[in-house]
Amino acid sequence: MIYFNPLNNTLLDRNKNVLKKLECIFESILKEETYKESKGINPCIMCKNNVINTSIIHENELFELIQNNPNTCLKIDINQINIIIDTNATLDR
Amino acid sequence: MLPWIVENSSNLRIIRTARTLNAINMAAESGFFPLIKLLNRNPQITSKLAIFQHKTKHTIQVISDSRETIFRNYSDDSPYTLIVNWTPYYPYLFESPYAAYLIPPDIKLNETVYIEDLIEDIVGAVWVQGCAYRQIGGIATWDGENFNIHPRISSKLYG
Repeated sequence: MIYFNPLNNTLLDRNKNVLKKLECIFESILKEETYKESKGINPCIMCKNNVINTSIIHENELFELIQNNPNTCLKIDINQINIIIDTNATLDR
Repeated sequence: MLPWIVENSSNLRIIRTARTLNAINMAAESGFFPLIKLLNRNPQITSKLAIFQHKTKHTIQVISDSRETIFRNYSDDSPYTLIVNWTPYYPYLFESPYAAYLIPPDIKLNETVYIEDLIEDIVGAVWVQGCAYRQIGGIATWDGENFNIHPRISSKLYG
């Protein structure tokens, strides 16, 4: 299970350790019509980095991806079923 | 709007926000104009919590997602007991009741920028369990006196 704190956009592991903070200057314009997804991984139209759809990836695979490359770009929908919301984690803005 | 940003994304200027007296005055002394704004809580923005306490150790666990009551097995024979039932609350803490956008001296009229820390309480994401969270950053256009922020409500986040 993946935890996510939407107050500071941080992704947490099951022990509530911070795995990654989601920060993207282009987030405001990355709407569905501009993000054509294929098999869960797709290059960003803005920066060309691959973006991983976290709704269809196993948590262990995701944790490994982030550990190997902390700059891995992720897409998270706070309403996806494999995300548990935790707003009690550290509030660093 | 989108084609313009795609073309000019590498030139999109980032506007910083200062949230303390010292930070605002230091920026002013460095040549920025601090555009002061009071923080106004948006009542639509809300989170929720429930608190469980261990029956013998008295430690607590605070949860925000109702599914956790199932995952953590908070049943009657659990060592934890519910002491605060689901309660909505405003989840953000700020150091000062005011903040300032730091306007660079060479900003141009109608310049489109990215504000990394919005002062305005704009709903940015809505969660199916009845909570709504702030839009943290966003694209805005400078009209000479203020920023016109382009609102973005989406449950999807990238980064």
